[in-house]
Amino acid sequence: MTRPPAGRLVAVLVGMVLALGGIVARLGVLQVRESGTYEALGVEQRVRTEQLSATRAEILDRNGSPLAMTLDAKDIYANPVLVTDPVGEATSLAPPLGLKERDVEAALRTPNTTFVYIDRGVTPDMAAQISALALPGIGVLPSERRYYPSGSIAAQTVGVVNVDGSGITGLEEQYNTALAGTPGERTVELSATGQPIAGGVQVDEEPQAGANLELTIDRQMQFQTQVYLRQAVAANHAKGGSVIVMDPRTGEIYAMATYPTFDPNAFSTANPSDLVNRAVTDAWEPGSVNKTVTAAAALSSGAVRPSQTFQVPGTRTIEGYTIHDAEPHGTETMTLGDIVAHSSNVGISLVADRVGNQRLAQTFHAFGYGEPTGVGFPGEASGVVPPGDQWSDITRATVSFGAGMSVSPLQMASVYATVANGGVYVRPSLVHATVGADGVATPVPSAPEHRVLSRATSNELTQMLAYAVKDGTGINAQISGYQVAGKTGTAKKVDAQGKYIDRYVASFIGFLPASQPRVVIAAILDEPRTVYGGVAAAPLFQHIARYAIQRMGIEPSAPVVMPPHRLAAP
Amino acid sequence: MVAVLAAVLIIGIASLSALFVQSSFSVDGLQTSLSTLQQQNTDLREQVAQASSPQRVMAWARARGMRMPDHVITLPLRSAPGGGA
Repeated sequence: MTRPPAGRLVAVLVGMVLALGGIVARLGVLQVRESGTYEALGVEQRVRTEQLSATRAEILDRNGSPLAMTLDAKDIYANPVLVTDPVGEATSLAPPLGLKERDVEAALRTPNTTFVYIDRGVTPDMAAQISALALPGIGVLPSERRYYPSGSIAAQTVGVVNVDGSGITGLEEQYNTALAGTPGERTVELSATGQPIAGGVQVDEEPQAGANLELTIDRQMQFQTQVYLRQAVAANHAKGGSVIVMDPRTGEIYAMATYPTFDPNAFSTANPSDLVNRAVTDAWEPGSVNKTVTAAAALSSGAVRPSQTFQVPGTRTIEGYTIHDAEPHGTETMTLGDIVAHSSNVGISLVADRVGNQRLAQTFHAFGYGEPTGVGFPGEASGVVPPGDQWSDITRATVSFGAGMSVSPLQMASVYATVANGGVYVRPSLVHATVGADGVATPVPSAPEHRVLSRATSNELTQMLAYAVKDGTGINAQISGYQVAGKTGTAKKVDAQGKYIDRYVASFIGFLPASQPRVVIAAILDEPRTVYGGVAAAPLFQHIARYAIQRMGIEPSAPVVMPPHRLAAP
Repeated sequence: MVAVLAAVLIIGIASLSALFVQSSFSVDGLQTSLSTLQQQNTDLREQVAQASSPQRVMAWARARGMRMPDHVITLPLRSAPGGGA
């Protein structure tokens, strides 16, 4: 037996040493230089960080009744790659989910993706039903859905959320951050099969639930207001309407209704225009309800005394334009109280001449015209008032009776609330407080009040408004046992080009009891068949006021005296 | 001696691990119970909200022949000389 050549042994040995050295070197690279990378890859495969969504808080009325709440729900999804029979699975999925089979099939056939939603926010029972079908590629994820247990009650004010749970209209949008809360985070360690390992779940950060919103709205008052508004719209063959019920002492809004309305639980099927809270977001020519502001300017500036008389003709021509009163009449002797109570356009234009452009414009500004009220509602209208230094004689005359300018219903309600509150403006409010998960209520800070009129002036205006209801155009707002103060309004609408058209907005805004006001109600009807505010809107005010008396326990108070007047009662 | 010590250590570690896993399952079970109770609470709140909804109350009342009064007259009570109402 011959020994192998020494050279071959050496070569094999060198080869083995080199191979071993290579392995050691590679091990060194993997274990030392690239250890961090591979450790990270391992952790990435095994450990997953998940976001823990915070539960969206509730919206409650002033008595704690829920107007919006969050319920557990499920999202149904598909992995199109794993779907074996798109047609058959679509046939099984679509009917219980209320979807169209062709839409579901299209989703199941979505190319180049492993995830597509089939339906979101379905009830847990429905999700269990879908899971029981055990369809390949179909899965269920935990989710939440927003639910509005009171349906259309205060729907435009409360607003709605989108499919991702973010507020997109109303208070849901305005207070989205506070309601949504702060999401948390947790780390989950998974087994090789993708299941969480017991003891391997660690919550890094707890989700912080949102803060409940406690509104000033009274659900019962809101509901009844909506019922009366709907009935008034139907009875007057109107296009729609808005109502605001508020406390003049605090600015708290008890009810804010707009008709037509919608069901927020099915808002995707609603007419988009019905989602709008027109009581805040729309500006309209106020018409004769604005005569109260002109009268306020006249009294507060001292330009006109309550007992002063005017010779008021049936018509008046200014700069080629003829203005006239609703009812034809010869020249009559009227006081400011008569002019307000009988809603004389000609008379109030004569009053505005005495006041002058500057003082009238200043009074409009003092009442907040041309600016948002500060309620903070999304899309709030500011209204438009021509700058006082640009008014011609006809501009002064028209704005004196609320034409050629625009205000929102909320602004106009605030004007009457100011008069009812002894001349002090209080910012209207819809939210009373936010209540954290710990139950601690944080009141929404109230805006500083400011005086717009002296108490004496507001008392004189109240007398005139009470006279308007007793013997003037507002007699349909009378309530047995209570003295109501208020004013009618009838305003022509303008088209998109700004031209007047033969359609009207009828309104009545007032408060009661006249001497100790507890509630202000603005009732507005859009395009009623009977155009006059005293005929169409005053009865709506009356119905809501009667209900407010019961609901709020309003007691009668001593009547205010009637202002100086010259016209005889009708 | 070393073998006994090693065996005790191994058994001890295994027991602790089992206890830890058992506790984890208990925690998971309690969390599931909590979640179920919270779900029941939400369901009950939803039912209360629906049941107390003014629409439902009015529909219920109408179905039983009730209706809102047409005219409400308020009669103020005058104070008696003695101070009572």
